Amino acid sequence: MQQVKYYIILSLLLGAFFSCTRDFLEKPPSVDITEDTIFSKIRNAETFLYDVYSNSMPSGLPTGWSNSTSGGIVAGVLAAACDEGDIADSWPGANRFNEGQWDANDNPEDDFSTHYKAIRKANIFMERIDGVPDASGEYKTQLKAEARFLRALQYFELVKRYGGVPIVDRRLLNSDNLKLPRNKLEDCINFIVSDCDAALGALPAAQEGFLRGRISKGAVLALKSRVLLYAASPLFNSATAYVATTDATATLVGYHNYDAARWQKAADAAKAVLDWAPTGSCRLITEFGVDNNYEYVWSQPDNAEIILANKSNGRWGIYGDYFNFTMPVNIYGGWYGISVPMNFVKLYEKKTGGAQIWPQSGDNANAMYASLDPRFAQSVGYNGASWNSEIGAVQMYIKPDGKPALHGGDRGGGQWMHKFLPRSVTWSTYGATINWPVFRLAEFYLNYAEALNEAQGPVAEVYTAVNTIRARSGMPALSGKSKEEMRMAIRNERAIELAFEEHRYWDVRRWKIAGDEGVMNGKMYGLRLKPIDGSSEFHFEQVVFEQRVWNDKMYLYPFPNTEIYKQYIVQNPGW
Amino acid sequence: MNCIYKLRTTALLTVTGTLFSLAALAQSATDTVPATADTTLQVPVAYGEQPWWKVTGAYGRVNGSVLRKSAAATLSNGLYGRIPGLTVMQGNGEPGYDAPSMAIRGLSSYRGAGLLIFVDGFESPFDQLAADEIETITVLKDAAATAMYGIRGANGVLLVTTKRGFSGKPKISFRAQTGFQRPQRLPEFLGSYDYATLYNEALRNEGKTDKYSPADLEAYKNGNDKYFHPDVNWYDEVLKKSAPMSEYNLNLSGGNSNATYFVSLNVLKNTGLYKNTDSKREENSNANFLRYNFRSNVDIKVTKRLSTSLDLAGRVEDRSYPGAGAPEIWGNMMLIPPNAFPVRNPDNSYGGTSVYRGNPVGLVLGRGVATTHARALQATMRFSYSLDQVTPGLKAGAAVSFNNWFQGNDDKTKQFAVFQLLKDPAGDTIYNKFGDNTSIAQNDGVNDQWRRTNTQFTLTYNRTFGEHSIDALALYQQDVYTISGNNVPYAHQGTAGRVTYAYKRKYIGEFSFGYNGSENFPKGRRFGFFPAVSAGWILSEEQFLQQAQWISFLKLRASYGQVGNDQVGGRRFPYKQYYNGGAGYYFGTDNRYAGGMDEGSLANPDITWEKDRRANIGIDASLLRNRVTLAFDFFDEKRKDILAERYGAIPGYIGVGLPAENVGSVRNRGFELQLGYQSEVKRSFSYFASASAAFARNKILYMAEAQQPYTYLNRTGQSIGQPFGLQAIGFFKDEADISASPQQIFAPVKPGDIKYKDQNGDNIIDIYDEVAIGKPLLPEWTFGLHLGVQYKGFDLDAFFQGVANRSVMLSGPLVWAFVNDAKAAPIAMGRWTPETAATATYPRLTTAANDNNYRSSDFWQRNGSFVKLRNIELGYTFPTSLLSRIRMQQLRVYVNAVNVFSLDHIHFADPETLSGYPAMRSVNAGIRVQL
Repeated sequence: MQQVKYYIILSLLLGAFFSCTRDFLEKPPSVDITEDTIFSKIRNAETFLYDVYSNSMPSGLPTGWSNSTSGGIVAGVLAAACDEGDIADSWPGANRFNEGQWDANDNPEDDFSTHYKAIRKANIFMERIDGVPDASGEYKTQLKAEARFLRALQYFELVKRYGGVPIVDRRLLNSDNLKLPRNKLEDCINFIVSDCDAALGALPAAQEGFLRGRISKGAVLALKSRVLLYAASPLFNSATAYVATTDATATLVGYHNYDAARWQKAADAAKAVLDWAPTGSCRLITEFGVDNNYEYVWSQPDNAEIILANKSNGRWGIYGDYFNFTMPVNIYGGWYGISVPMNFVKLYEKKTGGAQIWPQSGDNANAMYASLDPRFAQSVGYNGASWNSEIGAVQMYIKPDGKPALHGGDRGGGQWMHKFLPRSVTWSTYGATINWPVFRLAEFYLNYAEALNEAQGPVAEVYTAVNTIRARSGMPALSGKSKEEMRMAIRNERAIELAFEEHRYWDVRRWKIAGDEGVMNGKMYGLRLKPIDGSSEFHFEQVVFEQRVWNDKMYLYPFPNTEIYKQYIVQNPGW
Repeated sequence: MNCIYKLRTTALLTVTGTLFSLAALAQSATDTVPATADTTLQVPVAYGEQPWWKVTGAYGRVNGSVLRKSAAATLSNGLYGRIPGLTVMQGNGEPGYDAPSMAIRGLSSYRGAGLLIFVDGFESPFDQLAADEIETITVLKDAAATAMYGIRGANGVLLVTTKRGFSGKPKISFRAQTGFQRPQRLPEFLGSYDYATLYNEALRNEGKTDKYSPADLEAYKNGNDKYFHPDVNWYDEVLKKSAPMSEYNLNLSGGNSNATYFVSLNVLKNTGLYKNTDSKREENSNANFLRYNFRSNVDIKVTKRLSTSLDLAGRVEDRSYPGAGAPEIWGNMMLIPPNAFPVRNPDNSYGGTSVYRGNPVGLVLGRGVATTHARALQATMRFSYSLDQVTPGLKAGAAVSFNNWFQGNDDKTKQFAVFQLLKDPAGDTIYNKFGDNTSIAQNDGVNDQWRRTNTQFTLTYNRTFGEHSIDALALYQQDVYTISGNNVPYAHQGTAGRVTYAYKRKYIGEFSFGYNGSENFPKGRRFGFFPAVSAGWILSEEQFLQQAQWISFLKLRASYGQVGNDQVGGRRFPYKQYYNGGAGYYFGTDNRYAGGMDEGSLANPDITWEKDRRANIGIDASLLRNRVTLAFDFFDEKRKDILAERYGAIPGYIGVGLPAENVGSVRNRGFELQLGYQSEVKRSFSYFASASAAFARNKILYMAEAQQPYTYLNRTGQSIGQPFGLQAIGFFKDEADISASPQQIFAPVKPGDIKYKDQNGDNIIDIYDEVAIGKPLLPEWTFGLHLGVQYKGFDLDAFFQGVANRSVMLSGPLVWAFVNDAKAAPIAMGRWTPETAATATYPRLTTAANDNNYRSSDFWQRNGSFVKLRNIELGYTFPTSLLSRIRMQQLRVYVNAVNVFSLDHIHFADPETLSGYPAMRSVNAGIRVQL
């Protein structure tokens, strides 16, 4: 009997424990956020879209040391990797571009797969937004259009770098068959354009007030214009690829044929932006005078001329990466500075119109600088020009003892990039808010002029468009040009007006002039100043400060080897 | 090894555990072959015990009496080198936070590597147990030893067994010990004159003008201007020369045939090194650690068939510290230059500047008091019921254990202002204030806790049929582990079993398994089966060896099996996908922030545990009438299904963090060898020596590494934790040398900067030139050497530990002069200058961060091998003839020293504790009385 008692106790104990062990290892409910949580409320879904914005918006302001962070090139700006500029030190990424020391193992400008992170998020958002219960269909359609635009924008960022890329228009799983090949360049262009067309209708003409920075119709039209301009340009719109390759690869890196109608499409798309502008409260800034209009546009964040700004990062501190990488030496947090080579300074016309001829040497540096297009003084910090009220005049010359003056004088081009380094940055403000202009209206006047000139020759609208931009900065109107002369004039105008805005770097590629002497190839000239005794003038001398290296394969980037090794993708020719 | 000791003392070593014995003195690390013919002596194995001769797995063991000699406040600090195959690496020395890190047989996984630790059969930390309550600590190494832990056993298991009572006359023992400790080694730095001289040089190297005038340098040299030209050694200002530590222990044990008991009380008081602190802890506090350990292990025979035991182990830990944490205090002591400011200004305020606000004396004395109060309770109740009536030898058992830890805080902290002394143009002293003196803020709102609830049911069967014996165990167990701040408890559940068959004490065969599961995996894929087989052959029992008188005991062992590891690393519940906070964006004319949500990495619904196939071959031998003992184990482990993300295979356009997949594998091989010698006792003199060596080297076979452009960049094929870095090939001689050399892209270089080797010949020095340099931090070799002599009542015992094949990377203020406003170490005196170019041992000095010089390279790597005299103890035991008159069984007095010296390659810092609160050296005196 005694034993029976213990058996009973034992079995009761066992029963007590086993009865609760059925789902002993099952995870209990907790506060985890899943995809369903995100897409169960519109407020949550919006936060997901904001992350797509953050991941999709291009920026030219360098934010870090990695090629996967948005903006610029490792420790510098893209301007320093073309004839607009030169980084005044040897190690940052831009210098490696200039010396030709970059390849499929290491590209300091871009990280291929980062683009697809933004694209994936946009795809997920478009898949799921319709199912969010607490918002109107109209609003959801608008948000979807924003995501669609951001996806198209990222595809354009890919196409201009790599040519045709795999089009991923849905969320991929790691269990899917993931060996998607590259799409033809033509497919990619069409895909971007069709995304723009699909997004356009659902978006408001303008986004103002607290919505500023969200996607408007203007941004969509602007992207379409830029894409079609690139598509019509010689790099892509050509029967032969930029380096010899197979027919199959040629369709990945270009149209593999020439079609003049592409220029007309580009002209129409640019015209659509100009037509949209009044409805979106977008206009050229003209009210501050020819010596200030231009600077206002780049120093005043997100002003009326801006169609779409990258607003991430908010404020930049004086010792932040951006100022470290771009401020000239001995000016605030600057480490080295972005110098402006004479190759680019020579593109600035005389105030009175026509090219300024810079002799090999002279005794009138001040006068030469003063003779240039008013936009020169609003873009470049040169010897004697005021940096701002605190720093005073830039001192950029070689002292009689052979040493450089306070702000250099023996480095690179001999004058500093000033654009995007607002005068309001002082020790007391300790930084500034700078919004990178993704699209600004002036570009589309020039897109229109360029495309229309190519499609129809220098018709009246071409002149009107270019001269509108010139007039705003006090430059005399162009007249009486042949188609070829007009092409050169527009290219020059584009270089000056859009200087340091990450246009020139791509323009010299799409025009296929990067390999020309003095652009991304060959001798780069700098100005060396010396004070003249008993005079406020400076003696100048042009010197070759750098020999740049170009190879035509560089017209498009190589896909990174880390992707090539996975064997699903064809490398661009020459790499 | 061991093993052999005098008959007089061996008699004391019994199954129930002898509390104190001189024998223990002569006993070194492990007990693979006890020097007793007692075949019933049981040793701990997974979830139970086995007669020592039946053991077929690979184990390592150390007795509590040995740990007592290491006089370490934290028990695990007594384990250095004591158990071959258990690598113990010292952490910092802050009282109450000085637990070391441990690994068994090196590493077999590049992801989760934590050991499984049990105290008396249930999972529990053991660092803060007292050495006096420990019977043995056992390391379970091979598959045979660990298979019953199944999904959790692959990283090895540590079993801590506490003492129990015995049937017999009560034993009462008391031990008191007190001593002093001081840092093993403190880093050294240059004084003000040298600092300022070098700083000027660094500025000149950067094209800047001198900061210190010749008059300043003169003042530093003379050292007579303590306010405007101070020369402060912060270590002297903040630290005492030594700090006391004391420990008291009372053990009572005994019992009768119905009940036995072991009851223990231990008090430990450990103090820190901070000077001038308030002993009442009102204004400020030294680092103090006060610990009380209680234990009551009671075994009761309730009826003829039913027995029960109740173990109650409690602990109270009171810690108090300065309001500033040790990392801040030690970080500032290491950082702040000697001339930055005086400790105190003429008005007794704390010195400081806008850059250096953390005056270390102020951090200790001016930031108030932080205290934590922790209590822990492990309560285990077991029942055992004999089922002899069903079949003889069958027993049923049940056990439940609650393990509980709670810590609350009580802080009274404040802030202090520092004042910078300046002279105004008129020459008057002005005070420039930084920060504010605040009144005390009280905070007792932080608490932390964890709890474990475990349940076990067992069936055991032990029976001998003539020449055959069978031991079997079947077990069910489940446990839940809840950590505060983690809303989902950890849970495990499963069964395990073991069958051991022995024939004639010659042939032993064993099969064991674990079938268990973990909450970390998806439903339907949670449970795994982990079997192991092993065999033993006691050759010395064979006829053909009976003639070999010199062989006392000889056994061969072999095992093979599979164990698992569910701590796979990465996030929990990897079979589910989550969304996390993302980057967000700014909108509106005023650039206002809007938060963003981001997709987390993909889930892996097929996720599973790591599997480790391991083989072990061993020999245990005792020769020359047990004078010489030998134990050898060779192991070969292959871990597979280690998680890795297949970034190297899946196209980048998937655009999301990849799921962890079970694709990786690692091979780990090595051996352990122990040799011991015990002399005869001749004219009351005897000695022993025991040496051990353990080696483990692993190799990553596969980790889904992305294909690298150069094969030397591959981590695959290297050991886990293999350091990579650039190879320094000297300093740049001049500008011509720079332009003739490959371009180094990390920062602009000048003559005197470190020049690196271009591994791939592409004329650029970048991350693609980083090759495997040196060895991982975890040593491949560990050595132990235990020596002892005894003469009459005197005994002397020394223990050396050594490690080899280990590298350390030096970095930070310890070696990098001026970086981030740091001071300068003596090695900076060897800096490069154009004049010393030929003999320089340190790069050109700069005041700004220099990413070219101060980065991972073999220039900053050092051989991390060392030999340390971990303990030495001299004792005297009074003769029993004398003691019996005062009814005392034993009286022993002793002095010992811990971490006496270190032979290594670093010299200016401890090779195990390069920064932070240093590890301690101590000297103690003690007395032990047994009634």
